[in-house]
Amino acid sequence: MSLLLAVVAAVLFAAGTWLLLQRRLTRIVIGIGLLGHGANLLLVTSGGRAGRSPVLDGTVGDPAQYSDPLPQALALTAIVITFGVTAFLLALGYRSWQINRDDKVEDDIEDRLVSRRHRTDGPEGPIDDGDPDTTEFEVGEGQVS
Amino acid sequence: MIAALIVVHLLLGAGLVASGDRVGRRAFAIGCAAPLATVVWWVANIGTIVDGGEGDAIAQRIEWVPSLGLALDLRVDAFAAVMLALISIIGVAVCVYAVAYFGPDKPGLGRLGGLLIIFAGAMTGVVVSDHLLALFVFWELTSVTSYLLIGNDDRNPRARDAATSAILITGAGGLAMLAGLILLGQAAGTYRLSELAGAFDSSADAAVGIGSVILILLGAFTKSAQWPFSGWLPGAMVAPTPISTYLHAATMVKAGVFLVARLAPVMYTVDGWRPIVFVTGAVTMFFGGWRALRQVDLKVLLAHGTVSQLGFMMMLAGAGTYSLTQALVVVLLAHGAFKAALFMVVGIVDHQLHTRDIRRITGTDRRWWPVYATAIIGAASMAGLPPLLGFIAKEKALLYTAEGYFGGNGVVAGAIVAGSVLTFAYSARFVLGVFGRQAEPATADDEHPMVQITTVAPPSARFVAPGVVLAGFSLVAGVAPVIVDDLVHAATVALHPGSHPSAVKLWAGFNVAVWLSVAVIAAGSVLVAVRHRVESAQDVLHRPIASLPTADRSFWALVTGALTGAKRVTRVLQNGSLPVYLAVILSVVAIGPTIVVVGAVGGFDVVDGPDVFVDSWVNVVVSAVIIAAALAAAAFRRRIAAVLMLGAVGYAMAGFYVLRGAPDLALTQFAIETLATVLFVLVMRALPPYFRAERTAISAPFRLLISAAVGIGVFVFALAATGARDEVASDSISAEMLERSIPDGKGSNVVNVILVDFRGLDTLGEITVLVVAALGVVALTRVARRGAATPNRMAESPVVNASARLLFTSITVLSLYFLFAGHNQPGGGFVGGLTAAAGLSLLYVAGGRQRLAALLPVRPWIVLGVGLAISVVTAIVPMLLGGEVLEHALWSLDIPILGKVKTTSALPFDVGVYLVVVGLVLMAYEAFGDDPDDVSERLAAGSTL
Repeated sequence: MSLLLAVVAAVLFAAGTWLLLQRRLTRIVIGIGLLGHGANLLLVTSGGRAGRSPVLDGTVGDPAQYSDPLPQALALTAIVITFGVTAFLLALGYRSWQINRDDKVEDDIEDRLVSRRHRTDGPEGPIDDGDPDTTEFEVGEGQVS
Repeated sequence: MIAALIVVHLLLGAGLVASGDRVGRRAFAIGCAAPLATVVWWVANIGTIVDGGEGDAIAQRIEWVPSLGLALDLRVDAFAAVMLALISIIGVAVCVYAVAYFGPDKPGLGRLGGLLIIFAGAMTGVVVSDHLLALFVFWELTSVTSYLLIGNDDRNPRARDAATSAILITGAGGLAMLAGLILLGQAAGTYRLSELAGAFDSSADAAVGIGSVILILLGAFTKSAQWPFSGWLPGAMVAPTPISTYLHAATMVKAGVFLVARLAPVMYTVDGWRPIVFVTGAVTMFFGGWRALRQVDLKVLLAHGTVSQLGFMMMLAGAGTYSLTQALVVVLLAHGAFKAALFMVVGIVDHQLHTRDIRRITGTDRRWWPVYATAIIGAASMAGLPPLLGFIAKEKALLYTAEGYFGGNGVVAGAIVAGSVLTFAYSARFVLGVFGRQAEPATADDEHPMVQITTVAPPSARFVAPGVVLAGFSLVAGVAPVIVDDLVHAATVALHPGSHPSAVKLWAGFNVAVWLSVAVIAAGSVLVAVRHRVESAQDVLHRPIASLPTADRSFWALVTGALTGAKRVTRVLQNGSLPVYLAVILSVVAIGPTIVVVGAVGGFDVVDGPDVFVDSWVNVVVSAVIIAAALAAAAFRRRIAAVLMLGAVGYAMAGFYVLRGAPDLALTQFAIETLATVLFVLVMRALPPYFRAERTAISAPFRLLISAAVGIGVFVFALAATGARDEVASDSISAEMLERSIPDGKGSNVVNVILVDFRGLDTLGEITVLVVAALGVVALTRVARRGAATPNRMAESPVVNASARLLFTSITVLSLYFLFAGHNQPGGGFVGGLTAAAGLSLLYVAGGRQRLAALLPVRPWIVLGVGLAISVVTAIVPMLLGGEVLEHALWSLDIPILGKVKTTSALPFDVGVYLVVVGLVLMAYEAFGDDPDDVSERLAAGSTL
């Protein structure tokens, strides 16, 4: 991979990360899109140098003359899946708009409540030796003869 | 047959648990059948196993995955038979006892009895497993059943705490033991216990040796309640007495001793094994006895006594010499019998008197003589008095430690003597307590009155019988040890092949052990005589250490500390803010792998040659567009502009794919980018036009820092990965795919062949994901739209209408071309489907959602489902015909007008993909296609969200 393409991948990932850390779902979706592009770039370039497109005309010849088809197939799958994810996230944003008129990602209220709870319901401590109440039956008189 | 015994236990137990309250206390009578079956098996086979001390083990192997060498190996040698006798015979006795102990109308007895039987099965598994990992599984099963049995009264906080303590300590020990067993198994090259002796070489790797020793001993020490892990056992006494009798006196707590005894002949050669075992056992024996002497609750007194005795057994088991192993076997038998009998006495006292407090029991009643006899014989055996089996056991232990065949024997002998003095004293305390002779100022008050035993009914014969039988065994085996001699001999030889242990005799002449015994009894008697002064002395001694961190307190401090710590961590990490979560994850991603990559590569090995910086000048243009658009997408505050910048990145990526010689990718990217932009616009028209500035938990500079770190990490990674490969090497999998594409995949577009054939199953998974995503999209957005479709508000323009119609037709034809040609030319199901979807988008622009609905007679989800179904059927049919999944055939058809058409069975698969993609886009229009103003109106009108 050339330095140039490494820089392009780095910029795509950095910009995607920046957007991912925002509050608006739209920006997060755009960020995921950029991350997807960055990942595909890495995938395709991982196949080595660019070569002939892997569409054969009857014979194969030297495999080294072709672009590697396997990363391409992987990237193709990734592109389509990213599209599916994008559609789903957009639906989340749309739903958020239906409810809140906005696509802001709010803090999770349940988590907030959990983090504010102070009391433990955990075990209390050791059992003392020789508790005089110890019996597995009703305390008091035994069985009368 | 051995496995059948375990299965019978588990099935019967599960059945009883399931029966709930239907059988009541009869659960124990029914459950009794399982240990009884073991007794029958034992009696039938013990002749073979022992055979006058020269018998053979009975083994069973159940193959599981023979190709991986996985099998369940079970093996009963004479030592396992000793444990099996304890488990089964005491199991039957406890079941009989429990029927009398529990009231007929007590709820939850089905569960209690069932769990007890399941435990018995697990314990049987522990002692008969010949494979270290199988042993571990049964071991943990005993921990779990013990937890459930201790916590049986789940409304009692003391029971819950005791159960928690037991499972935490034994569970953690068990996990440590697993690690140790794996270390051992790997070092020895076998996991079979019976093969370990020849295979393990302690001198091979000292670190592995001591590591596995410490880890395994952690498991054994926690299970057998060794100091400092002994706190859970007295706590476990909240369980009903029959449960305590069985698990926490007679069987389960001996599992650790059992394992140590099994491993000691092999592992004692590891430096450190004997010191660890001896010191732990000695401390446990002494402090267990010391604490037993302070108890006023008969049951807790016995529990501390058990701890003490387990320390005793641990020392014997860990020595790894045949003579002490022989002593251990006798102790195992003696302890099982007398401790179970004594626990039964406690249960009888508690059941009849409703107290176990020795300060409140007064009086002696002639009618109680069987109980008294049991208590006296049991306690005497525990104290090591002749002519009982406990005496013989202690004699053997004292003799062989005092004579000494190993280093440190004097210390061990001293510890046993000291522990035995305490044992004598607390045994007497127990007997005096039962007899109501604890002449101490009573703490009676209105709530806790003194109980005069003469006013209380004596227990029924059925209630007393099991204890009497066990005590009777202590006496008979003590007077006539010949009845156990062969078994003990065979068990010793099983652990130490080739050894010649001496006979088990009541009187072995005047040797050093006799004099030690006399000293023990004398010192013990003194302690009993001055017991009140001993108690005051203990109180004085305990006052200063009352505030010290004992093992118990340390444990609970650890537990509460862990809970508090977990809460603090949760408060920081799980604070509900998505950006914070992502920041944590991304920081790790950016920093962790980068350090590893830099460390591994040590520098940047950029490819040599003219294309170090750029591999083609056209690339510079494309790269510039990508970088500029990506930065703009990140920076723009105008929503639609940011979206369009993402689109620009996508189109530039398509250009890049063309340059890379990836036409399929380029086509797909173009089509996807178009559709994605349309979807974005559909959603964005509803949302506010600008991103407002907002406060987040993470400041902007910090976010920038994380982004930069991720970017740098990717840069480093990309350069490091460069060195990995440069071109399609002739021996790579890609080269093979190129070679086999035409002969095997019947197609010359290798990428498409990979998608539908070589990696077709992946594609099937992928379109399934798409279907799920599409369903999610519609489910999320359509909830607000029930009822009539909204009227179309788009301007009906004749020009748009006509051109859309025209273009739609030609685009559809193009998409079909891509679909059919895809196997040999760039194209395929994905590209075809996306192209068709682009045509449908045109129709949407011209006429809205209604236009699409009018054109297609079927609903979008039908298209989606049919597509997936076609692909799945195509995948499965070859399998039904006896081939592999997704195996393809080539057909040659003569179609009238088109002429000769060659096609493969990959085509229907691609048709399925095509339909799924079209269906996904249709679903998206179904979801987002409504005019946002309409949706707003209906939302305002109170339509359900």
